[in-house]
Amino acid sequence: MGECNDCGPSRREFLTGAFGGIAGLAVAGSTPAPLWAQLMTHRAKAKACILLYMGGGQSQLDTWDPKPGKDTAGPLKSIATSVAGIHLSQNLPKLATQMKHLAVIRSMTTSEGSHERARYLIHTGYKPNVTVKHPGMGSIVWNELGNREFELPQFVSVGGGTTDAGFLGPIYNPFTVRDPSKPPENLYPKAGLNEKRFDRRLLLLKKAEKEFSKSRGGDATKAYHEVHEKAGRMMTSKLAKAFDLSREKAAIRKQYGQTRFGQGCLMARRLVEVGVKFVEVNLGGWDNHREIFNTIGAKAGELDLGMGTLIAELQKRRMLDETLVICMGDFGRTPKINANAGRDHYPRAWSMALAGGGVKGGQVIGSTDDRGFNVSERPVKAADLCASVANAFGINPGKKRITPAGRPITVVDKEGEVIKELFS
Amino acid sequence: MRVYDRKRGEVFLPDTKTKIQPKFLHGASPATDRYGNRREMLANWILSPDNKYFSQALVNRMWGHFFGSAFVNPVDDFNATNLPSHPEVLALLAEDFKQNGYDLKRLIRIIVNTDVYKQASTFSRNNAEDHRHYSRALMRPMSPEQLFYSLMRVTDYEEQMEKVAKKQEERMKRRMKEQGEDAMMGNVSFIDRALERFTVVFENDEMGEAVDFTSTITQALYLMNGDMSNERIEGKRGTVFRILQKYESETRRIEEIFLMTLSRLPTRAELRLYSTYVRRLRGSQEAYEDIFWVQVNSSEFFFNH
Repeated sequence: MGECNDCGPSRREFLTGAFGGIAGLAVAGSTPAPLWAQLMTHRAKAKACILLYMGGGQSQLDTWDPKPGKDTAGPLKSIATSVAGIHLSQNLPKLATQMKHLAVIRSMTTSEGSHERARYLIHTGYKPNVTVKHPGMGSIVWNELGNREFELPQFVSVGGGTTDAGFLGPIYNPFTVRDPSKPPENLYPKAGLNEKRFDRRLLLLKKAEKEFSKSRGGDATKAYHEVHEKAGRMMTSKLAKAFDLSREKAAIRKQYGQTRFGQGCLMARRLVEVGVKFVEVNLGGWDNHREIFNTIGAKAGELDLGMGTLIAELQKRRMLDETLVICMGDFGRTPKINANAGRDHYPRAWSMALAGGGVKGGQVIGSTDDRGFNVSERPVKAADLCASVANAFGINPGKKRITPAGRPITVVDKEGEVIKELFS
Repeated sequence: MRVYDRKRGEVFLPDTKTKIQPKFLHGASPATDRYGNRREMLANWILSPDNKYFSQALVNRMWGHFFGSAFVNPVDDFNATNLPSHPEVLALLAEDFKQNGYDLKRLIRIIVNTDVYKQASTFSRNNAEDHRHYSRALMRPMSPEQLFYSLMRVTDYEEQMEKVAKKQEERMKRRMKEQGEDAMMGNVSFIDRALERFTVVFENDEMGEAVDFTSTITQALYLMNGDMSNERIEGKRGTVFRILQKYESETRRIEEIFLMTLSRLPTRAELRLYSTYVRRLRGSQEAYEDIFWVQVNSSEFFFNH
């Protein structure tokens, strides 16, 4: 929000207004004859999204796009999956059994090779830009589809490392849970602060604030009150139990893996179950510039257990069809193994995977050449991915909105095209 | 600890032996080794009289620090599409700053002596929407550190912390006698650790100098439901109990809470509001705890105004 200092309360109201579905934010108009228009009408199945973020940049060769027998493969082998003809790295045995639900894109090609910029690009669909801060997917989904009456934040980040709401305003910033193994600090009312007493305090606070707000209020106090009110509602909400993993059976907790990521996947499932729209779970540690083969097995194993169990559970609970699961990172890693036995940043040709939310599983989209250096068919850009996520939710990626600087801008970069194979 | 220049660290094109020569932003290559080392050359370039950006950037930052809104916002984003709101004032202050050997104290003295700095934060209908022209003082959220120490102060926690800190220090001294200086390695004081935990909750890089308030739910939960505004003020060991011990009358008790949290006496209307509240709860300690809680959670407490 830093780029605009001359926009008064009107802007905030403007944005808040849109939250409640008041017409006005969206300027009528869209990109001409876009692909999504034909698709959207019958393909908006997703009600929620769980984004598993591979912070640091995941090696595609050691996960989704193995190149067995080639000099770029390293010592690891590939394994057959539950879908004939599709192979994954031996690092992903559980996910291999779930292949019928997975769509693996092997032809990601992006333009940013540094962590921060790449993270921004893949979350927003836009390149970083000095004049406007774009919102990430989680904030967009919250802003477009959130329900004002809902008592929890609609975008939760487990482990941080995501992007924020940009020009949509801090109201749509993610609520961050640092360690999923315990409920967030101060979430559940302290002993001695029963609901009656808490309500009494809030009422008194409201009265007390009137005077000060009248003469000095404005934007700052308004936002302060709004956030306080949201936090208060969250504290007293029954839905907040979703943050407490001790309510799950020990056996289930174990299935996800006793790691932050594994437990984060479980928390994501619990949150989506009660109606949270977007949960991002961070799994860092993929930035393997050195000795990649010493650590990649454990790292990928963590992913395999967490994501594999998540998909299986969503399926078992009949939630998979309405829950889009995405696994992606900053970028891929160099096919060439460097002098330190590591792999460096590689945005030119990399992979990611999706499941659920109306995505057709059991398929591979695009491919790289036999050693993995270049995309050989069906290149997919960051904006294409973001347009597809919007499409899965039934959000019009070409919808225009006004930035604080007064510039109309589409939800997803106009270059983005829905990856139609995902939904057909 | 010693800091020194290693006089190496050349950058090569990846996988080649082509050395890349360092260049300044405007493209000039620094004369090699004229000043002994590169860090010093960079410092000289930054402070050179031809470089107008350094003095402007620093003045802009300082102004932003004191007013909550700088001439150029964000403070580190000088560019052709983001022009300063008051270029003449910025140029004037920058020139003075440069002419006087980049004297920060002088700059601060000038800023805080301006009429514009003396303004109140109250506003009328006419300038309610002004965020950019300094027609009134802007409200600024306290920095995480300021908030932490304020909360410690109002809950009498500071004193207790100091006691713990003193004990810790004595323990360290003993250990140092036994183990030598190595015992100090990685030692973090009790207060620093508490502050660190607190700043994690309130961490927000936009909060430091910004007027655009970006409070988070995590922060609100801390203020409403954290130990500083609950455990520390409740029960027989809490702050409120001590106030009740000290003062008999309802009015004095409410006044004391106001002085502790907001450094002012309540207005007549406020006194009426809280007296009624206390009476409704039959003068119980709980009622005063609620009032204390309300003050700590108020925007008047949270914002520098």
